[in-house]
This record gives sequence, structure tokens and C-alpha cells, in this order.
Amino acid sequence: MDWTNHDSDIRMWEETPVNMYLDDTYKAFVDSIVPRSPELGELYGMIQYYGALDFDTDEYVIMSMNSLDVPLADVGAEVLNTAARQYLYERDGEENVDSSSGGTYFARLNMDERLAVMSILLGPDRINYFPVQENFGLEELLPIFPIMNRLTFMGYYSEWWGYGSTRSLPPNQRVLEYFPGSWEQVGYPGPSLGYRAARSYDYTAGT
Amino acid sequence: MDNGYDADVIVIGAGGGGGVIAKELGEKGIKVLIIEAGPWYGNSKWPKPNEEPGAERSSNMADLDINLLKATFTDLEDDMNDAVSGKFRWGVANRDLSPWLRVVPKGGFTWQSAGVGGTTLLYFANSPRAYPEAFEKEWPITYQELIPYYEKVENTLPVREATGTSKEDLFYYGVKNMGWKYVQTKDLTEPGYRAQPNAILSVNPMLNNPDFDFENNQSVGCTLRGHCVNGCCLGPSVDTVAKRSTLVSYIPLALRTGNVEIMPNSFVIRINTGEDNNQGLYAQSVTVRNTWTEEIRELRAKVIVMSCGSIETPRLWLNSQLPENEWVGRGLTNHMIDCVSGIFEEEDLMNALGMSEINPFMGQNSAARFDYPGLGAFEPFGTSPGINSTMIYGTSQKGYYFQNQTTDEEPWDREGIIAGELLREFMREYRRTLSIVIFGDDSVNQSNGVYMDPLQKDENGFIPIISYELTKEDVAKRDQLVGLACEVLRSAGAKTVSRANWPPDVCAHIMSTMRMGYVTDIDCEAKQVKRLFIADSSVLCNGLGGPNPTLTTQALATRTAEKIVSKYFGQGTT
Repeated sequence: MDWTNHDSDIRMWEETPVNMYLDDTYKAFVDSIVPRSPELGELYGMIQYYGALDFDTDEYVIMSMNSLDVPLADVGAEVLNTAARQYLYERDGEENVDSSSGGTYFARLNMDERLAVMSILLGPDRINYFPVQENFGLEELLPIFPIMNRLTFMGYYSEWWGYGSTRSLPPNQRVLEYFPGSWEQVGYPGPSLGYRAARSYDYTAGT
Repeated sequence: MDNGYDADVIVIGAGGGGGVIAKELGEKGIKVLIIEAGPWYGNSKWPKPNEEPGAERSSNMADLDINLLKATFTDLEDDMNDAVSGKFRWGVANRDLSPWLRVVPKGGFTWQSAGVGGTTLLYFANSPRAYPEAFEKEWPITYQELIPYYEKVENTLPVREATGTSKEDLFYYGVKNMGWKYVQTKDLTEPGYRAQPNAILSVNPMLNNPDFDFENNQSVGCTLRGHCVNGCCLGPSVDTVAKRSTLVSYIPLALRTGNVEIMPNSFVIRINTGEDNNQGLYAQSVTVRNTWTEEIRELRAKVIVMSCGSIETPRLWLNSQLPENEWVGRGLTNHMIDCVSGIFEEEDLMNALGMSEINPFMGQNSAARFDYPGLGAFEPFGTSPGINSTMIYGTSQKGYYFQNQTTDEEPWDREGIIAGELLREFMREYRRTLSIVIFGDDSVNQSNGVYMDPLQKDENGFIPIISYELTKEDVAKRDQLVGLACEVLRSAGAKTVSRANWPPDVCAHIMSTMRMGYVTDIDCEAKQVKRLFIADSSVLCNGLGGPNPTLTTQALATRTAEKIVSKYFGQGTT
């Protein structure tokens, strides 16, 4: 395979500062969309076990959200945690909504509870669960969660994880270092120069 | 030019429409300057197009460099199509900077690319004509009138009947089992299926030969490698690349005329007008901002053509404070796209195809279609897994699949985003998955369109907000078409069928925001501003009934070039 951007001059790039609030929240989120699968691993081989946590999809989502004109990673985490807090409040009353753990309500939930919260954020009553943000109107807030969903798919199932040690560098400096694990899972062989796959099915004939 | 003008005609945007009109004008001896906001890939004057400013302009065929294009188009889907930082994104060439901001409130997105070639860089190259009945309904010109222009574009690109792979065969198997018939004509009046008319060079007849040497292949023609969407770079030279984005088709032809010059990395932020007794208000110049240096300059021409696409063209009009018109930015149609997918078992595939896998990554991204005048169209497709999974499982207005109870009447097994363990299971079946994308025949509504955010600005002006809502009738039509697509999957043998149900404001086929007859006259000249023409999908009068809009946009641009010449550059005119 022709690894990309081999000629790039790889410079040091500002590391995204470690922020547990963001980290925990996004890890919990991407893990809910693309979880590890012990079952598939057992049935079809170890490679099928791995999920978004193993392929750092949370980093991809945070990086992408923060590369927008108005950085959105913080707001995205806020959306999840506000909704989780509201969910806990409605279910348990005051007892579960103290902010002692730094506001990372979403990451504290089990998988079913997370999915329930995420459902609300895509459901018809979602408006009631969004955080009030001074700098954002509702029409800018509402699309954030769908964007986070789409990014998770692209981050996980594209080649991004294969950029290895260069995956957090600016895009021009990334070099594909190894074959992405997700491609192995789905059986995508990677880019190709062509296939002897022309078919001559007579589609014009009747059945 | 030494007459006070920078060109006879300035074309804003080098995408699906701009490239065409520039070539047509250039062939008639008109001096054209194309101003393009994004980068120019595969041109030796920009050896590192995403990293360094490079030159200012190019007008020379000899600058086109296929090796550079191959080095840039890596076939890697995140590198090419990442919405934030991909080479095909809606943003400046410098990928260290953010993409341009757009507000899409209902959870959709706009899938467009800046750059020479515009969104044709990433399109599937499906090039069907409009449905004649869609013309008869709303257009101020007849379908008949457009046919010679369709033919000219079909011969120039060229458009060829696509060669299918397994995914198409399976699709044909499904539609034939349902009793649908094959339709031969380009001018569709009744439902049926056919091979895609694709702007892709024919497959090399030796391709299936075991001796065909992919490594050292220097021949012209598609090799079914499956990278249409990630930017085809297959061919011995830039102008013979298999997928005919305007980057490799009309732009080289334009350069060959010796009359066309292209200035990439330059965003037109304003159209400036003059006024006289004879013409009234007329377009006089454009204000251009270099996206690397931020330098601002003014360039003058006798005629200005907007080919910025259906969002930026009305945005430019509004940000230039051109005269008010209640249809500027209004009437958006976008084919209210949806996706369905089916997973097949090995045994059923053996029965239908004689092989155990579909392998959606092989072949032209879409090489077959089903047309249904009155409802829309749908087509099987397959891409690399990041894009494919986002389209069929990652985008929905109905939340996650477990939020939706599917009824017996619904022809799909589940609806919504697929997440969790089920996503893992489904994607493990990627090679046995057939995907279908559906394009609805949405109606024109004045309330749908592009607004300017009253407060938020970027360096190019107030930013666009996309507003799109389906009528009840349109929803019903869309559901009917989606149902049909699901039936095709079932009848081909799919064991499980999923419907994504995309939000209404996913914008990939973006049309009719500057409609002919409302914003422009029938020659595509703005009614309120003389010498200002439109040659992009915004000037289409409606959604064409469902067919992919690029070919019609290109046919119309070909016609508009003639109108410009006869009105402003014929004998006795200046």
C-alpha cells in the first residue's frame, strides 16, 4: 500500500492538554456507540474484541470537535453531562446529582443508562435536556450531538487509527503506520489499484 | 488585459458548473478568469497545495501533473473526506485552519468540497438527465430545448453506461425478481432500472484478464478500484483520469483553449455593481480575498458568472447586498436523501451471484439505478467502510434503532442509528452488505433555503443557515420510495434490512436556491443585476424529479455560455 504523506516534514504539534472531564465523557460516549465485544471476539477471533476505546476514537472526536471554527468539544461533553444529570434527577431525585465527581455524570452511568441518555438527546424532547450556553443559540446546540455520532463512525471505521504515532498531528503530517484494526474487523482490504471484478450479467433480459 | 478589465468574464467557482461555462466561453475566444476559493490539486504550481500558498494563477496545460495528483489523492477516506480536515472539505486549502462554518440545525450536514473541481472531486459521477415531467411542471424552458446541451456534455465528459460489479448484479437480481423492467432511454417517463450513466471512462476490456498488470497500468479507463468518492487519480495524465470530475475534464479543456486562467485559493467576498441609464444596475467587479495571505483586491470584467454552488451563490448575493428578491436563497430542494441497507447470508449470495460476498468497496461507487418519475430515484452504492457506515448506520432523524418500534407494515426491520453490539455485528458483515441511497422528488417551497445568520460572520461575510422541512406529501413520497428500495433488498434475498432515515437537512444534492424564472431570466442572467449570470445548481428550477443534478447543471451552463456570447460578445456588443 502507498502510505500517505510520506514526504511531510513532521514537526512537533501542540498536544491537546489532558482534561479528565473531556476524556472520561468522550470515552464513555464512543464506547457506547462502538463497544468492545467479548462475544464476537470469542466467536471470530481476538481482533473482533476491540472497540472504540482500543482505537482511540474519543481522541478523534475531541480533536475534530475542537478543530471547528468554534471549538465544540467542551460543549459536546456538557451536552452529555447535562442530559445525564437531568436523567438521574428525574429517576432518583436529588440523591444522585451532586457534583462531587467534577460533573462527569455521563461516564458514571452503566451502558444501558448511557444509551437511554443518548436516546433522549436524539429524541423529540431533547430541547429540555440541552445545557443553556451563553454563546450558543439552540439551532447551533442541537446539531452538536448528531455531529458527535457521525464523527464516531468516521473516526472508528476510517483509516485514522492507523496513523499511529502521527494520528494527533495536523492532517498534512500524518503517515499511515499500520493497517487500521477496524478495517481488519470488517474485511476491508484497504485502497487498491483495481479489481478484476467486471461482471457481464445481462441486466437487460427479463427474469 | 489592457482595456481596464482583468478578463472578459469572471467565473466565481471552478466546480461542476464553473468549469463547464469557462471551457465553453474560452472556446469562443472569450478571455475567462476563474476565481476558486479552494486548492488546485495536481498542478505543479501548487506542489504542496494544503501546506504552502504556491503560485497565484495557472493557465497552462503543461502545469497539470498526474504524479502530483496521485501523491495527493491517497485513496484514504479520512485523509480525503474528513468533514473537518479532509482534502475534500468545505474550507480553505490550509488544513491547519478550521473549515468554514455553516449552521445546519436539524442534524444534517452539507457535503461539498472547495477546490478546482468543486464537489465533483468527490461525487460518484452519476450523470442521468432530469425527468422530462419535472421540467414540464415548473421550468420556463422546455426539456426539449436542453437535449442538445445534454448531448454535448455527455459527449464531452464523456458519460458512459457503467460496468457493474457484484453490488449492481445483486441489485438487478432484486429488481428483476420484483418484475420491474429495464429502461433503455435517457429521457425517463416510466419507472424502471438501468446501468448508471456515469461520467467515468469505460472499463478497460482487458481488466478481467489474469495478466492485467495493475502496478504498471498506463492505459486509460476505470479499473473498478472503488475510489470515486475519495478522488479518482487513475490515468496516465490528469486529463485522462477515469472519473470525470471537472478537475480532469472541463478544466483541462478550458486550459487548452488558451483563453482561460484559474486563480485558486481566492474567495470572492463581494460582487460590486455599477449603474447607468442604459442597463440599470450591472455587475462590474468582484472583491477577492486570498485565503493564504488575506490580501484583498478588486477584479473587473464585462460579465460575472456565479458558480459557487447552491449555498454560496445566494450567500454571495446577500452579502453583496444586491437587490432584494424574495426568491434569493429560497426554494431549496435537496432530494431529501435517505439510505437503506441489507445484510445477506452466504448461501443466498451464492444463489444470486455465484459468489459468497458483495464486496461493496469494489467497483464504481454506484453503477446501477432505479428511476421512478413522480417519486424520485434510488441507487445501490458501496464505498470504503468509514463513509459507508456513516451513511447507512450513523445518520438519522429518528434517534437510535432501539428507540423505534418497527411495525409489520414497515418494510424494514429497524430504523435509526445502529449503535452498540449490533453495530459491531452489522459491520462485521460489511462485505455482505448492500446499501441503497434514495433521492426523493421533493417539491419547491419558499420557506426552505439559505438564510444569513444576522450576527455570526466569518472572514467571508455572514454565515449561512440551512433551513429545510419536508411537507407531508413529500414525506409520503419519500417513504414510498424507501419502501420500494427495501423491497428490492428483500427480493434479492437480504436477511435483515435497516433504514437510516436521514434528517431533512442533509445536503448533498443542493439545488434551486436561485431559480430560473424567479431570480434569473431564462438565459440565467439575474433579473435585477445585468451582466451577472448563474451557472451552478442553484439556478435549477426544481429538484429535477430526483435524478442527480450535476449533468443538468452542466447542460444548462453550456447553454448559458451561448447566451452570454450572443448578448455581450456578439457583433456590435461590448
